[in-house]
Amino acid sequence: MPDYTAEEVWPAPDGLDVVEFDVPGGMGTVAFQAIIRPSGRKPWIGLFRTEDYEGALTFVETWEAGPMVLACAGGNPHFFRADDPDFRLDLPTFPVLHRLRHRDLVILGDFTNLTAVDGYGLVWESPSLASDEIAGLEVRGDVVEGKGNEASTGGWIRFVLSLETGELQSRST
Amino acid sequence: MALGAEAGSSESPGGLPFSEQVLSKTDRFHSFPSIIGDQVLRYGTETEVSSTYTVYSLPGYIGSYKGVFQVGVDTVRYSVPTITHWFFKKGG
Repeated sequence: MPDYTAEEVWPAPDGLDVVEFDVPGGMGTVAFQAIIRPSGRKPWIGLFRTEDYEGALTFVETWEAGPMVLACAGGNPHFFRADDPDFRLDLPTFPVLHRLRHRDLVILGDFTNLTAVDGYGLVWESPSLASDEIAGLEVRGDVVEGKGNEASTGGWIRFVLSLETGELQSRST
Repeated sequence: MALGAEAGSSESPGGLPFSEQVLSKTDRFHSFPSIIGDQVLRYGTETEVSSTYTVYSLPGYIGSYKGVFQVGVDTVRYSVPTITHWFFKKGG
């Protein structure tokens, strides 16, 4: 039994509390709104704002286990407790350009780094993996593979990370 | 102003041309104005990554995001020294 449900809703039903999720340094614009229904508690509406980064992702990730919800609005990740939205975690990934889910692990990527979260919080942060572009992400067994560009050569370097810890296991051309 | 609008003009930082790859990336973290890039080249920290490639870095902000403006110059891959990296790296 999950601790909550979350789904996009438009328009929002009347009579529910509305919680705003702003972007750093400003209000941004509302990318979408969702109704969050914590188990045994009153539902509420989340308004998720974005800076509308070009090419960035919008989605909601939920988990069967754990209190956290991830609402990504045009590249801005909002990571919060379903039963207490005052409790939020800043994720280092911005703009969110990559999203990969493997069981309960959600891997997010921006231009240079990856971050993994689950229903309980932040799981790991990768080291820097690229000069300014990551591509070809996939999970193979117990590792995350991908490639990062290398500005000094104009080429790509393949990387392999531990799925469990995010530690770099190898880099090769 | 987007980088692309200034590319190839006399306002290119240090008079250096941009690589096609740099010009192809037009999102916010890849398209800060040339005047910023000029400051990076003039006053940034110089890191010699290899004998043919140097990165210049200067801390700054884009909006509320703190980071480092990076400009990379390759001296051999093209017929003239060319800017092959133009990026705002968040954090750091």
